Amino acid sequence: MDIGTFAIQLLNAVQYGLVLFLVASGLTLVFGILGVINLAHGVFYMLGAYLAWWLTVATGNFAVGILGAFAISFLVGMALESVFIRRLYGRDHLSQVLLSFGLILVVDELRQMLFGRDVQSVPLPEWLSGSLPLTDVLNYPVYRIVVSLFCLAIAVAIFLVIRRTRIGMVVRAGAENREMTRALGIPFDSVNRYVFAIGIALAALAGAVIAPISTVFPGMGDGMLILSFVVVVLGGIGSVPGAAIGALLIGLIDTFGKVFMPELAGILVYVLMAAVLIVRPTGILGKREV
Amino acid sequence: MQPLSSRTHLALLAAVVAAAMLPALVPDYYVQFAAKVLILGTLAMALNLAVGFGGLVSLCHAAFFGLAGYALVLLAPEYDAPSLLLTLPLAVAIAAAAALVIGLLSLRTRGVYFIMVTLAFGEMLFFLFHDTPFGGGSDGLFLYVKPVLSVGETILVDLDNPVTFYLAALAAAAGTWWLIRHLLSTPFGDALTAARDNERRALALGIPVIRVRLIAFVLSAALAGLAGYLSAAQFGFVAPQMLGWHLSATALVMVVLGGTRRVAGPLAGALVVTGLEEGLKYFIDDWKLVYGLIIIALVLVAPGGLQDLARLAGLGRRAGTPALNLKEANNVG
Amino acid sequence: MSADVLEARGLGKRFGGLAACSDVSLSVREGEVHAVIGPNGAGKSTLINLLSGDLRPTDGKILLDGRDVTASGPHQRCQGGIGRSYQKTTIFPERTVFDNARLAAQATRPGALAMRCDGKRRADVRDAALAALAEVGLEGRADTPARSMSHGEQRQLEVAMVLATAPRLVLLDEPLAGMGHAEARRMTGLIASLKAGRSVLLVEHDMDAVFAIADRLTVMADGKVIASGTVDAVRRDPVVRAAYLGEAEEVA
Repeated sequence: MDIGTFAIQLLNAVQYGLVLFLVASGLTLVFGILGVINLAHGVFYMLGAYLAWWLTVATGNFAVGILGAFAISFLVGMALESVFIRRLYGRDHLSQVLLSFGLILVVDELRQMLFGRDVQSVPLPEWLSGSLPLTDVLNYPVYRIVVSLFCLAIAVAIFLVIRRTRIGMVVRAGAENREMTRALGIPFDSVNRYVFAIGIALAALAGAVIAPISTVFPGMGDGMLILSFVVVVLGGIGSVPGAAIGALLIGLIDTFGKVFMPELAGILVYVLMAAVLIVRPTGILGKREV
Repeated sequence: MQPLSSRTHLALLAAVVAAAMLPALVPDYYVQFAAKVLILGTLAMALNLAVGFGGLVSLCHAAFFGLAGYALVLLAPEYDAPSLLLTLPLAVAIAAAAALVIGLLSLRTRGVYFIMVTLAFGEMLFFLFHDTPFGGGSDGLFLYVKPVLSVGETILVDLDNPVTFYLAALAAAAGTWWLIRHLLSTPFGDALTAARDNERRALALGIPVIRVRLIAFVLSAALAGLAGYLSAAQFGFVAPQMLGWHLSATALVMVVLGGTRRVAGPLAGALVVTGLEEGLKYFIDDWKLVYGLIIIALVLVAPGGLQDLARLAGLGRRAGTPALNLKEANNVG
Repeated sequence: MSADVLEARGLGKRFGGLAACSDVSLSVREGEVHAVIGPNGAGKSTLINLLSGDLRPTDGKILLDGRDVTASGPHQRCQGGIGRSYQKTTIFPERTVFDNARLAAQATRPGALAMRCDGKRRADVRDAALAALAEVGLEGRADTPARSMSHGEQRQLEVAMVLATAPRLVLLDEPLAGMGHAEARRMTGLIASLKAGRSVLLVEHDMDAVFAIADRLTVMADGKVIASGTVDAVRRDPVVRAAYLGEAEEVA
């Protein structure tokens, strides 16, 4: 592989990893703070892509598509938390699995009623659809770079919120420390609601920004859900930096796996997960078992 | 769990004999439906050995189910009847072997990690069959001739016959029920439920918790494999969806609906879920919306499944007391 | 002098940067009650968790009958003859008292994981369970659901479960915690009687009880052993008096 191809694959890997991080960070936050395992997370990735497609086509404005997908998902998340999810706090994992499975069926069917089941593609505006020359012969799409920078900016914002704000303190303390949260005078109910809504909206945002690159299709959330779980298992539950490491690792392994051993690429991610489970069952940055 | 008394044996025998009469009483469509319920009920009872009695919420049991189904189709000669005696043990063994590997890795984790890891490994098997050509890819494979059990030239059991097939599914469900119930009355069953109730105490009593859970997980996968083998034989077709996690989750719905602390509960859950699915599909176009809402309502309103529903329906006082006693008897072990 | 059942050599446990235990060495002899005392946060619970296998040490060695068991897990140590109770009562509350004891007795006997026989019909297990219940004075409560008993009785049941595993060394983590006066006195008597044929290592705050039943004492502070010896020797030790006992006697 020459250096130019290598650079392109590396950019692809990083972009893939960053998008995966957006999805997985939402999942790990919701679990870390709310103590809820949300299998419906992937379906909101799919919903975000469909919303972006629908809004972009309807308004002719791509930015409206992206921001609208984020905003609508956020509101849906707020509503879902107050109607369903908050009743799951403290319940066993089995109930959480089942309720979120029911939610998948409902959201998926609603998507079918609203947007149909066709595969769609999202048109890019002129200024995003060009390519940058990488070497004399190789070009790289501008939009992929914009996606990477955009996701990177969001990731930095997430880290700043976690490091610098009072809500971030709760996030760092983890779900076990609800007492401390109360002592800090943080209203727990609204923190929960925002965290869940943001988690869902991040998944939808990831789906929205990826929509112009990949196609928009009904089952796109399932694969992303599984990969986000692998990211969380790799990084450690509730750990946002762990999710970042896990997501980038998967981006690299999947992208370069497809280049070097295309037949095994689909399995490599799971081999990595198995290896981490053998060496560190609680994840790379997970709390050590005591 | 109470030891198997001769009375329970008699009741079981009576139930099986009554069920065996079904083909003589109803049209073929219902016999096929009943066979499907029995197969999914076997899957759900098998899953509940891990979930309800082992405390292990597994989201990869459909993979064991599907793996055994694929094993039958791949092992079968193309235009000849596969031997039941050869293919069934092999299919079950393949499911068990997969569970041994997945269990060894995922039992290093607990709780929500375990759910995620089993889901991921299950989907790995799904993608393996979906993305590679050797199992027919996303289109799946057909089984042209159903398995038979023959001695010399005489065919003793031919699964192509719907009544024979129904009886085989009935035997599988009854056998699974008996085996799990027996297992729970043994010291092994004691160790399994003790580890579920209080892992720390179980370890401090000298119970090798991981080993006990691994054995239960593999047994449960083997029984799920039995169900998957029969399912492939019933429809003469396997596709990757058979291994997908949506089926695992559906089996979990059956388990919760039937009650996690009762051996036969998931069988009742399978009947309700399968009946509901067929009914909804028949009457409503967007049936999955209603189905999803019913699952959500189940979790929020009746987490105890059919027992809760019976109480909500006002059958509480009459049905409640014996149900409660049974539950306690189950808790004991 | 009788032989050491258990010996810890230079045990240390760090959680991240915090050393909960460092360089702890002690031994428990056959047939003695050995008490570990010290102020809160001295590392006593960590020590007991290291000895039982619930925690893995970062340094040092643990010998059971001279055999290195440092690497073995809690269930292996139990099979090796170490039984333990927890600071927070750890039983099966949804089961009956007898069933709690039966599970304990069954787990350390041959056929603990048998898949053929019926667990409830084993005479050897049944006898061992009833004997253990009798030893703690719960023989009359066999059919009571454990959750409906008083706190003190639940702690007695936990001791019965430990005894049913036929241990040679019993580790007790604050067995008197949260008990009323009468309950505590009964439990103290029970602990004193345990050393017939067994050894006991005890972590406890109640000094009166400790002085009444312990043969030897180890005093810990800040994760380290600051004194060890017979009860009288430790009571006279000026370091101990300064660090710990002075306070305790004032409180008492």
